[in-house]
Amino acid sequence: MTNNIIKNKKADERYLSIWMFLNWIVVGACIVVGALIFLNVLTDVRLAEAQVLSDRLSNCLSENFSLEEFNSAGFDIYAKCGLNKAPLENYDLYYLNITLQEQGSGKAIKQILKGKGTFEVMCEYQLNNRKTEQNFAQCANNKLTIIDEKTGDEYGLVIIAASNQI
Amino acid sequence: MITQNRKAQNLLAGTTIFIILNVLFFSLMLLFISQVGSSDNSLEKKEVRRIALVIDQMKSDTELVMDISELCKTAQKNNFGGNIAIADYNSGILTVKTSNNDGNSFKFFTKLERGSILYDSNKCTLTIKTG
Repeated sequence: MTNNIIKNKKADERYLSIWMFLNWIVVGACIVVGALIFLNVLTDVRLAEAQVLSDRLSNCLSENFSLEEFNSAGFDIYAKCGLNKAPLENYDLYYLNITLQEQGSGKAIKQILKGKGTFEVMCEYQLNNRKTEQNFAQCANNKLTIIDEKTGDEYGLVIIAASNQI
Repeated sequence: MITQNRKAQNLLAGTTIFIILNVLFFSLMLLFISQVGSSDNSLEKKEVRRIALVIDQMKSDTELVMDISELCKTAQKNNFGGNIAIADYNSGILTVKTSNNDGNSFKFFTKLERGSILYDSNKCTLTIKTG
């Protein structure tokens, strides 16, 4: 009996040493992965970028708004708001959805869609459920009332902007 | 008696090695974390995002001078005398580099004219002008 205990103890020590190295590998891997995830979270500015884009569009469209200009065939949102078309359309990193609505009825008058269309579903899901999914593009929205400078009529403006630039 | 002492010696040696290996392991882990957190790459990554967000938030007809002394110090440490912030105005890509590597790039969506981002190596500043 005494011999058995001693034998088991030796075996236990041997296995413990293997476990020790296995534990180190697991702990090491966890620390490395954790540090990298933490650093990526620190440099994740997608939500801030989406908010900046959304605010910029809101400011630009609400200033000296004219329905005639907005509805014209040649209306260029990039030129109007001083935006560069290339990064917004060429890299599948951004999404813009600008909807001009009738005040009261909420009926859409004109909608401008730019960028990666698949972000629309991600934005709808996150904004409707009021939650953030880290694997989705990050979205920001602005809802405001704008006044036509010429006619004085009021309109509703809904802007959704998304960024997935990591 | 001799066997017992030998066992005790083995136990002591085993425990000492175990402690040394543990200390070594956790020191390596701490070193890794501090290196990752303060590496040139993470500084470039952080700064390029900061500058790009500032550019995108700027109103038209504005001039802004940004202090980038942290990047300058790193560039000096790496003996890098080139341009720290390079912008591709057509594609809207800003690249920040503090050594001879590729640097870190980030896209900005503001339409800027050529020469709107100027790096002053003497003052360690970046002047940004929007049209």
